Amino acid sequence: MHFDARWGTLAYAALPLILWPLLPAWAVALLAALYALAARWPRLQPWRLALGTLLLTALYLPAISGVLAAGGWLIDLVPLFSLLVLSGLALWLVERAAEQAEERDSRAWMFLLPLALLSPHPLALVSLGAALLLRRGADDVALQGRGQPWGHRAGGRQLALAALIVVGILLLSFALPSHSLLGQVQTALWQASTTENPSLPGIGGCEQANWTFVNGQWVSDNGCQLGGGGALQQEDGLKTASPLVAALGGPTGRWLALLGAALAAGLWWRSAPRRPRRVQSAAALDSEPDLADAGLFTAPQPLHRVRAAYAHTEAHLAVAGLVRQEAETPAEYLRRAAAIWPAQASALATLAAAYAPVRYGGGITEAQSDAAERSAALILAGSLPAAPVFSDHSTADRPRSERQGLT
Amino acid sequence: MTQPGTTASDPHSSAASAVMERVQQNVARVLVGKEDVTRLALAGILAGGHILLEDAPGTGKTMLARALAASLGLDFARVQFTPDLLPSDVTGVSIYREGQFQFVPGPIFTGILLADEINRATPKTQSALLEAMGEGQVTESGVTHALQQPFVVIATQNPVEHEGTYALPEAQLDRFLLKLSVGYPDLEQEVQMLGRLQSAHPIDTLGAVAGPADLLAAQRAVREITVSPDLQRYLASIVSATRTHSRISLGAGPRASLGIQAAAQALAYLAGRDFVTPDDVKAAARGVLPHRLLLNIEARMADVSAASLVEEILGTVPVPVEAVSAVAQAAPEPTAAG
Repeated sequence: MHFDARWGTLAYAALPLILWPLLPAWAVALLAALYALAARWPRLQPWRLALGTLLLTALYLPAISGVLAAGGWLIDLVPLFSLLVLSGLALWLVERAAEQAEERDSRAWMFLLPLALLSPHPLALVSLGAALLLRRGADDVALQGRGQPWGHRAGGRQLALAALIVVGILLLSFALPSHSLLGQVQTALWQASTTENPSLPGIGGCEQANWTFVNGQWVSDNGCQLGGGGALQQEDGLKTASPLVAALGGPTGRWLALLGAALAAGLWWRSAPRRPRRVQSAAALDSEPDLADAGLFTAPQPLHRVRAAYAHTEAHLAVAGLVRQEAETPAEYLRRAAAIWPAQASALATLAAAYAPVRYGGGITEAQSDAAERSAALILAGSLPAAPVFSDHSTADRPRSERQGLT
Repeated sequence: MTQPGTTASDPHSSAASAVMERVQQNVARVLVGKEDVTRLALAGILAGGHILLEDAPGTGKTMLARALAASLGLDFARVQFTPDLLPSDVTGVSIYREGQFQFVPGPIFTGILLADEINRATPKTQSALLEAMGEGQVTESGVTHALQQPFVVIATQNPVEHEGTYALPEAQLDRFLLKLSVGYPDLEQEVQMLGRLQSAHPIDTLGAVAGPADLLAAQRAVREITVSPDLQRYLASIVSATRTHSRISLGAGPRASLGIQAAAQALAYLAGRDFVTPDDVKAAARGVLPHRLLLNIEARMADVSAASLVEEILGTVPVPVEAVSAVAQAAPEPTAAG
């Protein structure tokens, strides 16, 4: 069965939770609702990135007045806002990776969520993992224009984008304003949200909070936010984080992140395309064609591999003189081919049986996918005599069983 | 690793499909060489529709209905439609008894109703079936009575003899999901049939291989069969083409689109798949569309059949497949070709 749409919507809605330490609960809830709506109504997807970024930006608009009130310059906020934009971009990248993986009927993207929870730099590593999922396979090149997320762009662009996010987040964490200035900004924010202590000086209100190190920033559970690392925390004598947060923010968290990254790399390696090798001779394929020898179907997922196999076969048959009519179904077309080249009938039937579930909404097993590729390789390896010219694929071409029983 | 949606991956779905396979095999004991029309008729039932069988006398229309009813374990009633048949003869009548009116259900309160030679009854009687077929209920003397579920009408009519008949109105025709023809058997099939029916007719001993609960469960499962969005667009394009065809004065309506989708889902289910293919859509369209089309005068003068126009449309509407030209440009000539 398909990945249930309701669970899919829930999973997408859960993605913004990785921003939980950075944003107030209501902002995370709004983002979750936005992502859930976009999952439910794909028409909203083009607006998701813009709306998400707008929300993040609007969230920090009060910081402008805070900086001005503290005697600072607006340019001091550029790194902070850049960090926010990068966060939104990383979240969008994760979302696209999930959608694309789902389109390929892969659940490998599920590893993104635990990785996000384990990592002290969730967005950085998760966006990198997302980019790995989004990389193009050989069949994406072959099937370009069929709704691939990256269209005609080069295959490494998404990796470059993820790397940019990683580097950007790391660099910006050091480029953030001095802790005192940012402290005042956050205090201003905090003051705007509560009237209990309207005249707190400096970062005073933040001292009693628990601090978590996330994405190169120290964030507190009452909304305060600081740049810098653990040393800064010690300098300011801030309250020590909870044991779990401290553990995740320390060496243990880094090891866990490393483990998550290794897991991501392993999953990526497992689904990586096989290296194509040049076929020495067609005769070698006649007996037992090797998938790698075919050198054509190197997509990471069986679904794409079968689609590529079908497309190559149809192109090959067209060269041999049998062009599929636009109103002809793949099954009809391959049956017609089998009638002309009976020696290929078995391979054509196997390919037809594998292609239908892939193209029209079902699924397929690895074994079926392999069989389809073997069949396609056999068809491609065989030298087909020229097909007789067909004027069309009218009723007469259809098997009798299809014509019978209908008025 | 098994990808989701693998064919027949759901054990419950597979088991239900196997039940329907047994139904088809059971019907095949009675009807020789009519597996295709049996499959289509069963698909119509699984899709929750009603079926109109149009063919010459003696081709097995009644036998198909009886065999389906027996195999599915449904109650079966047969009404011979004649010009003097009244609506109440079908739906039931209220009788004054013991100081009050009591409703006496008609033969329509059954699982499968065979409306034999439906076009021999008057339009008034034919229309009595409308509510029952459309809404699964009968209203008599202002009181609504629900029919049992599942409820299927299998009607027959003779396409040759038109004297003393009343052609079914468009609204009535639209209520039939599929219009099928049983067709004559070929020589070998007829010889086989003679041998099989020599001593006794197997319909008399045909037992049920499924029950109403199985049918209801299968009908629910059919609705879960996947129809991809581009196939839905393909399906809608076919129906839309009937509205713009130069030889069709009245094309098929949205109910036809729904009918094709439901029938295609049922055909996919019977094939053991959990997704619809364009072949299912085409097969369904051939049964769903023709009787819903009103041909213009030129087409009728030229003796063009609605089925042939549907075939023409199916031969022109593009099927959603891979963009092979893009592949051919992007990928090098296959090295496997040597």
